[in-house]
Amino acid sequence: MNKKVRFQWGAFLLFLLYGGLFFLLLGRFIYIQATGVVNGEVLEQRAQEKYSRSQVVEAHRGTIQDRNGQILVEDTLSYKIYAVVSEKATAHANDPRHVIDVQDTAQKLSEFLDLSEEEIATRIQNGIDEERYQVEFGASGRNLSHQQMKKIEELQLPGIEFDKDLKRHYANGRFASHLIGFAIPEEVEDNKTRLVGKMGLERIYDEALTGTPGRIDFQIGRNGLLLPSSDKLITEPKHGADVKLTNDRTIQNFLEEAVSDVQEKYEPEKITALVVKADSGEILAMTQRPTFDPNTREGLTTNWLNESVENTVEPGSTMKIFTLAAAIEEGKWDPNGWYKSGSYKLLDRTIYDHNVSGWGTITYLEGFQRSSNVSMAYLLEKLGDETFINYIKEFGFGEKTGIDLPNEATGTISDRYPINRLTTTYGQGTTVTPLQLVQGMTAIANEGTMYQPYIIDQIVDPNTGEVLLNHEPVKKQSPISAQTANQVKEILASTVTSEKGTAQKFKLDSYTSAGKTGTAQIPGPDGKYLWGRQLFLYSFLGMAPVEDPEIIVYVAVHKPKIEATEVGSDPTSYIFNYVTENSLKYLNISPNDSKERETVLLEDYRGKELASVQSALQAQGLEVVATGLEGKVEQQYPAGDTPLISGTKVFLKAGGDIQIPDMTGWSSREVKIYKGFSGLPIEMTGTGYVVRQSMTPGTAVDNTPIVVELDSPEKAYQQQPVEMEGNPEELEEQQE
Amino acid sequence: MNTNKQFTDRFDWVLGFLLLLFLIISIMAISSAQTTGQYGINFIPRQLFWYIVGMVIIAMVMFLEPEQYKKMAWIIYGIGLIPLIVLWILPDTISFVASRNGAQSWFHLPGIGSIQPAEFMKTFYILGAARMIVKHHENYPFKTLKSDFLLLAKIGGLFIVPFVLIMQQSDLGTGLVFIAITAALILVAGISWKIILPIVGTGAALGGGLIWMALNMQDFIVNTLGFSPYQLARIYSWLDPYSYASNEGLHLISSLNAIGSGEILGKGYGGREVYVPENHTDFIFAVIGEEYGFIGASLVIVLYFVLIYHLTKITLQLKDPFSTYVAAGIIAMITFHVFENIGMTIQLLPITGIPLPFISYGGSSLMGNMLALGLIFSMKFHHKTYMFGSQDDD
Repeated sequence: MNKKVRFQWGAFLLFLLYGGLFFLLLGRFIYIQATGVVNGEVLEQRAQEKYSRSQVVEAHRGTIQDRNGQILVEDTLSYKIYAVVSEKATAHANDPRHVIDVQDTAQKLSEFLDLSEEEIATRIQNGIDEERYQVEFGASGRNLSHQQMKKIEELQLPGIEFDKDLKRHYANGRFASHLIGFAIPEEVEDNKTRLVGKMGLERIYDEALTGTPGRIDFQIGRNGLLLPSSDKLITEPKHGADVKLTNDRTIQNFLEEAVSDVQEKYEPEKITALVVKADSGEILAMTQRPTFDPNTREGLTTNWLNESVENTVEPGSTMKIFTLAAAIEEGKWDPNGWYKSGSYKLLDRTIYDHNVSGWGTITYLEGFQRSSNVSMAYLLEKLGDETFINYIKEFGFGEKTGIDLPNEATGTISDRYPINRLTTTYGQGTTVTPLQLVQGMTAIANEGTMYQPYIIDQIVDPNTGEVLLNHEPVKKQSPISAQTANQVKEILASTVTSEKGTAQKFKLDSYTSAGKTGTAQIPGPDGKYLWGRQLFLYSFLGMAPVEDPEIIVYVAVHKPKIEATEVGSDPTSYIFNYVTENSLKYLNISPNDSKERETVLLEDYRGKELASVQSALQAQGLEVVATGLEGKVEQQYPAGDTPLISGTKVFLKAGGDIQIPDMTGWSSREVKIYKGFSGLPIEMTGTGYVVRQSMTPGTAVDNTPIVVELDSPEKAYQQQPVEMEGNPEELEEQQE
Repeated sequence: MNTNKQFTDRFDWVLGFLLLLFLIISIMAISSAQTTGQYGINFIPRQLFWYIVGMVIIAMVMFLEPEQYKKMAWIIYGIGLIPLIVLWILPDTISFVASRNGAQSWFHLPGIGSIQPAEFMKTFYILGAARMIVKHHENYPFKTLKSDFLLLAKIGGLFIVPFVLIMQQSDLGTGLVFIAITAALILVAGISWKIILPIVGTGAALGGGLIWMALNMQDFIVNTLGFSPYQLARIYSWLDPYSYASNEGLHLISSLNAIGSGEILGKGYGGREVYVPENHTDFIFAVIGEEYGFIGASLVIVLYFVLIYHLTKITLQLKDPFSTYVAAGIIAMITFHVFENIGMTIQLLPITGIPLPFISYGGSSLMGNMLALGLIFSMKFHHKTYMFGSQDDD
């Protein structure tokens, strides 16, 4: 009996348990169905969106644009064909909505699809036999262009229908791929797809980029099928927001080109490079190798990290910039003081200069130019460890910059033991992100003011034009004074110009540059540093022009295969020089004789007579480009009160006829300004500077589009050097 | 043992009526599920056919008395293992072994369709285990901690063979059903709480630990413990389907959308809007939730509750220990199926591929469940008088 009682107790417990489970189910149901919300998702609404794909009007995914509104990423449309084979689709015999004549349909379709007549017929017939509602044509039925779709539609084949297939188009291919990332169509329902961001900005801003599809409401039959003849009601789709970056397509292209060249020539393990606008922290270009083509995702490896932001490096000698800045700010910098280079002993450890033997007794300035580690050790002695580490922190190392990208790496300042603090002065042991280095450099470039780097300029709702997000430059703390910053800048410039400098290879043709090279050892898999020229991380942190830095460039090349005749800075200087030289030209920065050239303050000429303005400007040494040849000046560019260097173009808008100018040598920005003023249908192809234009200068304007071909500056100069020099005069002659 | 009572008195009409209700629900739900013609097959005649086959099975099972099943229990258990072993040994390439949704647990028999032997093995296992428990109690009339341990070991031995074979097929859902059955049997077998509590505790800790590891120590669990990523994906997609929407999570999201959009009253018969994959089999409850809303879903759940309640009531009336153990196992099996299946459609539990008893489309599942119910019918049919007699004895 005892056993029986025990059993019934167990059974009772079981029953209680089961009953409890049922209540759990019911409870969950009440939660889901009575509230209609799961995880904050309103399910009724989601269900509506998923209703039936022929009822959904797709919303575009937002574009990604560069700072000038150039489209970097957008949706392209292709079409997918399918054949409705079920008789149920046809409501009235005189208005067939399914395939009636299989052979005829197959024969006509075979002209457009990559399938034989028999194959098409078989597919349709199989669908009919299996009583399917519709059949598709696999890969051959996909990716049809709008034109192909229109042509097939004109045949008016009953039952032949189309679905839009969305695809993301990355216009520039391998272009900031790890930053921008990619989105791919993903099946969210039976045959219905949506573009979903999987990586980079596409993933981070997936929600903003994704639109809300519109709807066409049909009448619905009791069985859930559409009544094909019913009236429809259209709800417009809400397109996804456009994301505008601070990135400049042209500069990014320069960077991609240069980096690709180096990748090909030196086959390094990795390259990381970024270009930042010196006086705002806006990221103009950012790339890395290996990279991939987001259209095909060819080349995509398991490394999805945006190296500039999400990964750290040991900065090596580039760190000396900040040690130097600290020493100057603290008044401990004596450029003409002498010290014994070669080695330095700290307790039981000895550190060496990179050539081990040193250069004898030299000045601190020379020590810096030669990138002497020992000079840093003496600076640290003078500074004191604590002060030094505080400066490093003030420059933003050891904490996130706060860029508008997720997963930013922090890096660690290695400061636990005296030897750690010592090696940190020349960038060993401590880890930093390329972004932190560039951020720190903004303080040097901007007279002590440090700017937070950022990449998103604006997010705009294209439906309403409303600006959802707008970023302005963010000033951070000023780790050093203006005076210190300028002194550091000069010393950095001397590493390029001095014959003892390690950065001589970074001398630009037309601009002054300043910066610091870095050669860092890379810890191997066992944690020990690798040794050998081909196993180092070569980097350069620099800016140009020195007088008023416009851009800051950071380049790091990991383990390049350098020939015996080459030096480690060959790959980095190639990238820096190419990108900086071209970018500055593109940005209309006057070459380095600017100091000698006169600066004039442009007045506001609006409302004044064109003829008098023209002669006034020419007298000041400025170049005039006017749209319209008579009347008063309606608009001008640049605006009044802008200091200009002689030779700069001033655009004026006036009345009267327009003659097409010779645009050879113009930057794309200049072409755009001219286009805006003149209202001419000008189309640009390529990036860089104008090398060719479709209409002869001086011809009168009609409505034919003018195609202007641009190319990178070096090519532009090589191809048409004479006209470059000659054209301003010609232009003026035409206008006079 | 047979009495002179009429057939009509001995047949369990309530259970029969409940089955009829399930038949109606099943047909309505399946017909809604396939409105878009997405499966290319009309499942209704097939399901009706399987219901008829199931009823034949019930009739056949009812024909024998529980006492006879008790005698044959070992043989039945052994026979049930054979197809599982065959599936395990045979290479996947052989034509009649069909792989579905990542589980290789089907025989494809030309002309008949796909058969999933595990569906039958559940009931066979219950028979074997019940027989074993009864025998144990006969051999050890006086419970000691030691004899309890021995019983536990025996149950464990009986359980582990089919369980390993089924896990071999990556059929996690059915494996869990085996665990649920075993747990129920242990609970009713009268094993001391001193043993059960630590086991339950360990089991819970282990389960929780595995889920935690799946979330935090992915490499370890895949490389060292040998779980397949397919199984882990279930956990991730369960806990956060919206970030995992590309895979299993999509299934869950569509199911939640379907059920949630049904709200209180549902969209009515044929009003289904959301496409849920597998909505005629494992996800049929999503159809019910969407079309009949909270009211309809609750009714179906209540119906299952009534079924379980009815089965429990029968079990409590039985005096024959073998039958009670069998009934307890069957109740556990059906309850777990219902709970796991409905639970997975509403994010209460991770998605495992097991059908909703009596409603989901599927021959194997239906036949397996009918087989189990047949045993209950048989108990009621053959035991009624015995039960009265026994009561007189008390």
